[in-house]
Amino acid sequence: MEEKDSSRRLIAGRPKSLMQAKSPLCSGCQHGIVGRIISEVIDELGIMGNVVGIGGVGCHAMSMFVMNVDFVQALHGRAPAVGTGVKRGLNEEAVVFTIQGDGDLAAIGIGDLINATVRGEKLTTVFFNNAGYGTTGGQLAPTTLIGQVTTTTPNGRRPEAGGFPIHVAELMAGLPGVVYSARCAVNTLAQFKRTKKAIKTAFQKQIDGIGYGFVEVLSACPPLLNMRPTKAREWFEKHMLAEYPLGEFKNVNEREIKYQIENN
Amino acid sequence: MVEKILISGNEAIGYGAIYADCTHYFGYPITPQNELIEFMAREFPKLGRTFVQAESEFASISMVCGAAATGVRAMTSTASTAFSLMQEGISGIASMELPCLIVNVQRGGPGAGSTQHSQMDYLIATRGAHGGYKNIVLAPFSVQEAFELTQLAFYLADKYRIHIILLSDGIMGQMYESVELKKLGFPPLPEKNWAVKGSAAHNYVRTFVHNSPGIIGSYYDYMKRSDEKYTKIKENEVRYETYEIEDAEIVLVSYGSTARVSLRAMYLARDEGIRVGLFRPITLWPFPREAINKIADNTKKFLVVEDCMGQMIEDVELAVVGKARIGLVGSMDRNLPTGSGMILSRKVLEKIKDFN
Amino acid sequence: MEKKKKAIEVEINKEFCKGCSFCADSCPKECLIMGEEINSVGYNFPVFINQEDCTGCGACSFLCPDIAIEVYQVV
Repeated sequence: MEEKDSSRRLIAGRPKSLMQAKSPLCSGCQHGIVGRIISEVIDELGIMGNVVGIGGVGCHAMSMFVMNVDFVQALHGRAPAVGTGVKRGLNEEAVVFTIQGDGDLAAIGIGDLINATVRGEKLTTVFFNNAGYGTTGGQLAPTTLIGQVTTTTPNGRRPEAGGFPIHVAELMAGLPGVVYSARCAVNTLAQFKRTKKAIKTAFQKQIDGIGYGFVEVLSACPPLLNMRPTKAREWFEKHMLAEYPLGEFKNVNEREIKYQIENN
Repeated sequence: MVEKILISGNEAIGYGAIYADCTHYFGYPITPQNELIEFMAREFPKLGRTFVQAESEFASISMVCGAAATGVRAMTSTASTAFSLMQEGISGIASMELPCLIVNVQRGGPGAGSTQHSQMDYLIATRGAHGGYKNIVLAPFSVQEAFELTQLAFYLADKYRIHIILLSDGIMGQMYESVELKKLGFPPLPEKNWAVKGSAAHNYVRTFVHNSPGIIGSYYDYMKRSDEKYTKIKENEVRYETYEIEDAEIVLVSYGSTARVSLRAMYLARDEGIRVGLFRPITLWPFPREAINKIADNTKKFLVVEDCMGQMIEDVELAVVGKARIGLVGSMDRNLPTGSGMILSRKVLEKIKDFN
Repeated sequence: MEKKKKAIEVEINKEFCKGCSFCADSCPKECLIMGEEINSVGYNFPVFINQEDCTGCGACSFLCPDIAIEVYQVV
């Protein structure tokens, strides 16, 4: 981090690649913390001038407006495909990452995400999982917990009415094109630091040309839960962490080829 | 000595892309354009260019969007039913004003329709999807023209920052003709300063290419800019060809493969002493409305020949503004009731004679 | 012998604050409380009340979704 003046040293402040602008998110929305982490990682890796972000559709995409790096907006769910186009368009020389939320990534975009890894793309995806659709007013998401009340599961999600929550980080870990998959949170300082390490690792996998890096970051959406920010965070610690275990599910330095036909 | 080779219409588009310095192709297999994606898979890597087979057409159009946003010449190709799949992506591309080429080799519709030719996508190609954007639609009627219009498409795309639809069909795609392979010359184009390349390319001032003109910035400015662009295109880029129009009492209006059939019908009719001409639009948008309107001053019978239930006929009706009578030779006039039925020139001749 | 601890300065940008109180909640030494005053859009913003015990961990800044807090160590 930069030093503002010589009489004092900045311990914690706004990263260079984050604009000095008011965040457009709700009070207590932890997406802002994740956006800041991504900016800090971009600063520390020195890629601010050579990175392109692809924003999906949803609250997570608000980062597009405040991150001081090149961005291309994608249609709902298509960020990994647009990211593929950008990465190939720039001859694989830029670092391309996608930021996506519950609907964008786990609902409409799950096919694009999986197929990007199947195609062997080397992108980085940060998945903002807050178990609901915030932007459109609080509906059911693939990641909504069983028993969770949303505007389209007014009696709480049940297998017969709404289905089961999807665990994307574990799913990604099972794909050969994915070399890093982790799930993190930002509810405490310790978790903040783990999330930053995970996101940095995921970016490094792309920079080193190894493969697809994926980080799922859990957060709480106060309006979705109809709670004040600190109460929402308590709900999060009690319920989200019970459903979605934190940890690193895959961290390899090479994409595995299980079998290969020899062409003579 | 210019190289002359015998190739299919689908491949000719591939050659056109190569000669136009298109560097990125993203596509998905679908009949009847598979020869094109396979040609790209073979030839592009040889030239160090990028070929990606995507997992779907919404993925391939999204990739075209991403690549075009970086300033490279990118394209995709598809057919009817999957052209529908691409519509959201195309609307997105329109909102971002990205230059690129989308090839639609028409097959039967609606739904999965047939795997063979048709001209049933005229309206969707010329009218577009939601949002009311416009795009230039080019329709070749020979393999040579497919090769040349592909090169023109990339030039027009970059000139106006607009996406181009090249409307072909199953017959055009699979027929073989000899093509003179030559690179067409075009006036110089401005730099793509709007392209995304990482902010270091613009002195750390970031570029944000977005698809929400009504959320970010001034909606009005976007509309004004689009309106001015479309007006300029309508004034400068209309293309068509006429055959024996001057003394015609009936003018056939046709594009693409049915224009070939119509041309023969015209000669057959002339042999029998009937004064028939052919008007062949090359740009389906901007539609050569004024040219047809002028012909309607003297010619009072237009026979639209198109392999669908009547789509281009609507534009001819708008162009003629009631000054002439209009008839249709459509898919119901095919020689067979199946997907492989075709409109034949003898049928067109019959309808010419019946047009009273 | 007691080492003299370097002072930590915590600067709060009240206009960026949205009153979520993560900072006050996350401080391990209870150095911040949500104040009575409101900013121009009506949010209560935090007040740094205990510089003595502040360890400069930065939690208040790191966990602020609006980056309305900056933490400096006096050199």
